[in-house]
Amino acid sequence: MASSSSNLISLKTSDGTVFKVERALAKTMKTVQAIIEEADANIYMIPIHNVFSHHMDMIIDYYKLSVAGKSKEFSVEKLDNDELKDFLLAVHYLNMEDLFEVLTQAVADRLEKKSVGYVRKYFGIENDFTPEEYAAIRKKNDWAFKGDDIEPEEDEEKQEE
Amino acid sequence: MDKSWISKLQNTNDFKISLSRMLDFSVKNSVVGFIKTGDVLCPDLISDLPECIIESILIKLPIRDALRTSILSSKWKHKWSSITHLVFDEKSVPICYDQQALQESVVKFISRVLFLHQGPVHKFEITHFFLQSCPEIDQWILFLSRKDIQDLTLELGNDEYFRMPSCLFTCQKLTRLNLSCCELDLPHSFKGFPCLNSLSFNRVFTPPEAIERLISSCPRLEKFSLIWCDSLALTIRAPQLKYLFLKGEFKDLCLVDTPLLVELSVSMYMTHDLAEHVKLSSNCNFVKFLGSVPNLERFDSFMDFTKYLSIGNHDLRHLAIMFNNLERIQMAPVNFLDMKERRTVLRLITSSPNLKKLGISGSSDIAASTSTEDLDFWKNECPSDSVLSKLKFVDLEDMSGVLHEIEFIKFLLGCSPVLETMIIIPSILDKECQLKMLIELMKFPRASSKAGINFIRSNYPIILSPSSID
Repeated sequence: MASSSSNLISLKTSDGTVFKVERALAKTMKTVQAIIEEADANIYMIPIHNVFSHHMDMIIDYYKLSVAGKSKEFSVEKLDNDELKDFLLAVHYLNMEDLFEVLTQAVADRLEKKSVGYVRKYFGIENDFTPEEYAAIRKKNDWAFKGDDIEPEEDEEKQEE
Repeated sequence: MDKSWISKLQNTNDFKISLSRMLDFSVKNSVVGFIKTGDVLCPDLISDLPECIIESILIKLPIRDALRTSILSSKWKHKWSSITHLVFDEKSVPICYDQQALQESVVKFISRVLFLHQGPVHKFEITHFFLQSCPEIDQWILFLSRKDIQDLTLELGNDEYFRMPSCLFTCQKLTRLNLSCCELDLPHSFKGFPCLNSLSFNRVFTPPEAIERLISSCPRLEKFSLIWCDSLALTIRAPQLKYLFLKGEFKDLCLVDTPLLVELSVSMYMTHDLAEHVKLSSNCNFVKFLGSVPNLERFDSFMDFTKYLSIGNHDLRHLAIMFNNLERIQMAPVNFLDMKERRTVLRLITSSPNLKKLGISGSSDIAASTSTEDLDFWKNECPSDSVLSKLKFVDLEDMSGVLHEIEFIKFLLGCSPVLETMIIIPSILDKECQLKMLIELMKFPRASSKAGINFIRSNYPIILSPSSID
């Protein structure tokens, strides 16, 4: 039974796994910290929705690296785009500032210089412009689309569909 | 909850408030987070994500990429236009080798972005050194002064210095100001920047009284950097100042009321006339400058600053100044033939009991001298009971082998019980002289049994570890 004077906090993920984490790590999760502070009695177990055990594994990895001063070694390269999105949502839910910055930067890095079509696919965004609207905006903001270093729009002909 | 309700909320301020309340609600009542529930939201999760996530991603993209999101879908048309950070650097505009065309292109781009922007701008940065001063910049500053600007960086080209409009001084929320190649003067009505934490001026043309007034009217100022803003006699009064970086030609430098200073770096260039003028002054510069910075942790003195600091140092033995937190010292160059400079270096080192790293460069324009003049200095003024109990690393460069330098090394070796590495790089090319120097050094007693001397002659370092001593 975990008491408030213990150094370990129990967190239960969405898939039912219980992680016992150091108080210091729980402190980096502002959402969890808020729950602990609001509880009158000792908290036995804190459920963290939207967070799965594979997310917690990565969070713990990051925590260990940053305590050792090696936070730059943390990489999410092995995650595909959907996994990265999920992880970002989990970290956002937990309100973990540093890791949130790392992940949003990782997402930004994956989007940089990509074509609009790629970004739509990545985010699952439906293009709801009519071809005329699309052409009008494209023309208006043409100055932002110029540049050899940007991927060309593959799907511009598809706008007619 | 249905889709249309969410889309209605989306572009209003209510969205942020409602969302954060819902999150609080879900936390308090352990309700499953609504973000993830598929049947509540459309499959396109991102477009309806909290604006803070989208903003966080967009501000990390180069501005052109952020702009291009306007074409993703109707919901995205204006998302980019409310990002709070606008950074224009070399990545912002396609590369163009025609200076004129590049200038026009950059100016147009920035003006357009600002014109379409909505909401506050917290950070605005132009680090595009090809951007020369032009009238449009006035308009941009005026625009930003109305947008709660907090972090402003303007690094322009140096053809013609940009004259800063007075509306800059109405930006009451400024926390960071970084200017390069500008000209400014404080309006009479200026009462200060109450939130300014970091100030950096690089080649900013401004009267010295303006700088002093600016610093003393910013009560929260912690970092101050002044580079190549020349011919200033500067007195710094900044009770919260922790980091000070000065570089350029200064007529006079004085620290008054900087008790919290932690890092200090000065690269001072003294013209010959100035040096003569200052020599006549009877002030003890060591006290004037380092007299009230007890919390100093790091000190760098470059170019003529050691010389400047040693002016008026007739006798420092009675000074009660101690630097208990000073762990790193760098001084380059130091003229060991000048008694006052020797005294300054010695005084600084012996007042820093917790010194860990020391780096000194000899003066490169003195020839090796075998003069025994004034060697009593070391007997008279070098405290024999001095111990540098934390000194681990010493780096000595441009050592010309003058006897005073040798005595200094002897002193260091004798008072540092935990010394691990001493690097010596001689400036003399003559191999005979180098060998002579090396032999001298080898004779000195070392307080540290672990001390190794790396004597680096061109590309062949000779590493003398304790075990190689006969």
